[in-house]
Amino acid sequence: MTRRLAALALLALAACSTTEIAGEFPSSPLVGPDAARGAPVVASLPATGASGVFRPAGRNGDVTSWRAADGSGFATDRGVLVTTFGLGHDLYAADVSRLVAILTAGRSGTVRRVHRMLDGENNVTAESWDCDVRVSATRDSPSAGGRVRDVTEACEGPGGAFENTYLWSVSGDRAVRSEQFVSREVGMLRIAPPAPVATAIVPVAIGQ
Amino acid sequence: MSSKGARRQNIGQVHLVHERRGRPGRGPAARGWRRAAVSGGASVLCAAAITTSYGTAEQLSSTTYNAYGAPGLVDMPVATMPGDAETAITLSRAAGTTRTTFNFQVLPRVSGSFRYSIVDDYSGPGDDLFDRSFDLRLSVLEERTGWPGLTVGLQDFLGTGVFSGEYVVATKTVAPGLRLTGGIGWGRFGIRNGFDNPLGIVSGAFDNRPPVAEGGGRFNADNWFRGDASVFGGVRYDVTDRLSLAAEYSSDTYANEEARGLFTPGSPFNFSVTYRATPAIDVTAFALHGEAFGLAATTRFNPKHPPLGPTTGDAPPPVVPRADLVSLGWGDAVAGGADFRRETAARLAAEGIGLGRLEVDGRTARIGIRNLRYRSDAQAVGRAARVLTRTMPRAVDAFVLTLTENGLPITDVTLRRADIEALEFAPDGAAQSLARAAFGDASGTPVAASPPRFEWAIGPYLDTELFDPDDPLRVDVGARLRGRLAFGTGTFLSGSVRKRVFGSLDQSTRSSNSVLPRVRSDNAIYNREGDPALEYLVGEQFFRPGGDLYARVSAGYLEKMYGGVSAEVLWLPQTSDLGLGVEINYARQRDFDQLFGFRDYDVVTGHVSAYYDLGEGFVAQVDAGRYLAGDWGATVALDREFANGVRVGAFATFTDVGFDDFGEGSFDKGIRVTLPVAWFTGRESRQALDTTIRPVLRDGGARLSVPHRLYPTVRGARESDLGQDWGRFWR
Repeated sequence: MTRRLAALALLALAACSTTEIAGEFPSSPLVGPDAARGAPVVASLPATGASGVFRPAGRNGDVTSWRAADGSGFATDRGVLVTTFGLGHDLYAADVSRLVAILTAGRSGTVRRVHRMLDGENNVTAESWDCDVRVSATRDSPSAGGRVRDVTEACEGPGGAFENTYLWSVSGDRAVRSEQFVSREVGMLRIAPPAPVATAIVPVAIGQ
Repeated sequence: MSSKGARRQNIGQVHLVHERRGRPGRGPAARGWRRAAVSGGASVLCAAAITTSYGTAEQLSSTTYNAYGAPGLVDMPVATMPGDAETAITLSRAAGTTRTTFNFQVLPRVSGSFRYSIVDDYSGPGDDLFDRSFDLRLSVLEERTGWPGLTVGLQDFLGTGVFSGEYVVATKTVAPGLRLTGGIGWGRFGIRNGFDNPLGIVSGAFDNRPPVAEGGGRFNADNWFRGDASVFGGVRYDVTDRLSLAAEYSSDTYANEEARGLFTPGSPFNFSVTYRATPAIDVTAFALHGEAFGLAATTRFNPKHPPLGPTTGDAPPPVVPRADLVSLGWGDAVAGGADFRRETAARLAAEGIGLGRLEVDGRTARIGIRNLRYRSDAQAVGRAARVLTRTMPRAVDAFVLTLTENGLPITDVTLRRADIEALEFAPDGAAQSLARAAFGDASGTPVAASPPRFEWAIGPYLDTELFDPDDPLRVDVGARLRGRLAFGTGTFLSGSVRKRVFGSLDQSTRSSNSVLPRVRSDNAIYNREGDPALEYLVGEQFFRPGGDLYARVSAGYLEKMYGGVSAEVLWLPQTSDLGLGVEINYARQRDFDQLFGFRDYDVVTGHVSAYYDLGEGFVAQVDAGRYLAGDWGATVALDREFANGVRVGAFATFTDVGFDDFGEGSFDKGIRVTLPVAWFTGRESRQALDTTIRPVLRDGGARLSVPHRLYPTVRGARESDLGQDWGRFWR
């Protein structure tokens, strides 16, 4: 019996650690890293404490794609999260055009937000959230470099609720700091400009 | 079926296939805010272990499993069904009996089990019973307000009958966390205070339960629901979310065990305490008939829910709108210049995609791609399209991507560049991009002749052999080196060698008692003598004879036990549920040392095959023809495949070899499970782990194992499969 258990343990161990070293000849050509363009942001997951530095990797219309050195990424429409990558339970796509219009206009209101997710069988599922958006009076923020508004977006939907918060730069016409819902499993994603000291010390990704 | 310890040849086989197609993906560094990815390949056990850490309560049912590994109380079943697709592995031991059970919820209302039991000293001191059995359960009525759930079950319905029993059971939730169960049983469940079978009203044939046929493995349909019946019942109470108590009145008297002096029940009552250590792991302690204590552990996972989540891979490269190309320094001159192909190839390679043909013809770019990294070809198409938005000249406004597998051009996917640009972040981008894509059979699409390309991999291997009574779990661990040379169009030379480092596969002393040509039953000798072993060395040519048609010719050392020549043609239209194939082989048995020599036995073997996609992920396959021992017959198989690549199935083969000539088990059958490495590691990869478990490996109904059969090679790249997985296009 002991031998059997030892064999089982061995089986599990060997199976879990099976890693091949692979190669090819001629080897694939390599691409150099793209030159970084634009200011980075620090994104973090309050639920796990993990954080990383993300740089702009592309722009399509009003949407900016952000990528970290570890291959993770997300995209924002004027600072509002529209998709995430590599989190396991990602936000596949968010319909935020109404919200962005409200933020730009600087008026409180209600919006319906539709979140799409990919399930374990590659089906795209959608759920809608009804959100109450409250926009504060415009104030000065030296750290954000100009006039800003504080915005809360309280959403209720299928079996739950969440509250997103944004610091909206009036001059920049985008959210410069925010905490936004990704999914039930992942929780919130916090996006902020890097602290000056932090960027000086850790220029690339910060380990989790 | 069952066997007495020392008497019969008795080999099961777990077959690990590390190479499915392509090579593993680049592993992300464990930095940034992602969950640490688990590295490397693994097995069912590994998946279970990882699921244990990550499985969540929402993904799994509240079902508890009994000592038989079936949804139940202690020994008795309940009517409640686990969630669709839930898979549970239960290990239990009590009163000298150890059982390992694999239970799968095949459909929301159908579940099945495979069980391996060891009963100590069953046939005398030191002579244990080794028994493999199958169960089937059907939910007739689902529980709802005012109605209990009602389930009909067959336990050990294909065997020598040691654990055979049938039942009809009802379960009702009467208060939150409190469930009552009552049932009527036959066979093993119809012994205590048995009464005349109520089904005797229907027919007198139900009054008596005839003895089970020798040899095992046969459908004992004329035993089902026969003989005396008895009632059982019990209660389960959930004290908390994690702690459950169960008590039952058992209709099983352990008559067999008592007659052999192994276990004498005291009271008819059994009790258990189950602790849900994690959402995926249950630990149960139970008291059996006031005379024995038992322990059980169950680990569960649901193939629908990858443990780390459905979307774990690296982020794709962003789409580059044409307006931005210049600002990137990619003017038309550069895009069309000398480094143009190299740049495209490099960026595709970084995404795990091989580049074949690349032609820019005015406004259309035609590109051949090989998916080397993603389980879903739709994801490879999406990534390739993203790369092309960056590298193609601005004048190009359409991409025609030819998905190529083993040199076979399978599907042309035509995408408009403007759609890729416009839909990258569109809320319903998946549906819209699918609607705007065009698909076509690529049979007429030219494939560029490949300059010679050599891929190699070295790594550890794990081989196991199950159910040998002397040691039911034998394991070998060693190193394997494999390589594949590609040249021309669809021409390959592949080989694999391995060397054992340590293990016990060579210690089996079983010898074959088969009355048929020993086409598989000398497995133990191959295991003893084949070290180092040439696993295969095969030259292959793939080509497309016409529209909807695919062909393969292979020659060389095809598998562990046979070398020869194999030819196959497959008819599989782009959106057809039906596929038809023909394969013919000349096979000669290899020497036991698995090097270059051959033995005297040779045979012409081949099959006509039909594949049918039944929908909802179910695929049926029938192969009819001549098997390795020269026997004629057919194999039927049914698999449930999940879009994420997990597959669970069962197969059975019936040939003109009689049940008695076949020997133990009566006919060839088994279950098979495929787990993509990506499913449990969260790393994109095309590697998968194929496990086939046969209760007994014998010589009847044995099929040649040829690498790269066409149906699994072609199917995933067709229009219908791409459409099903299209959600992956933007990932």
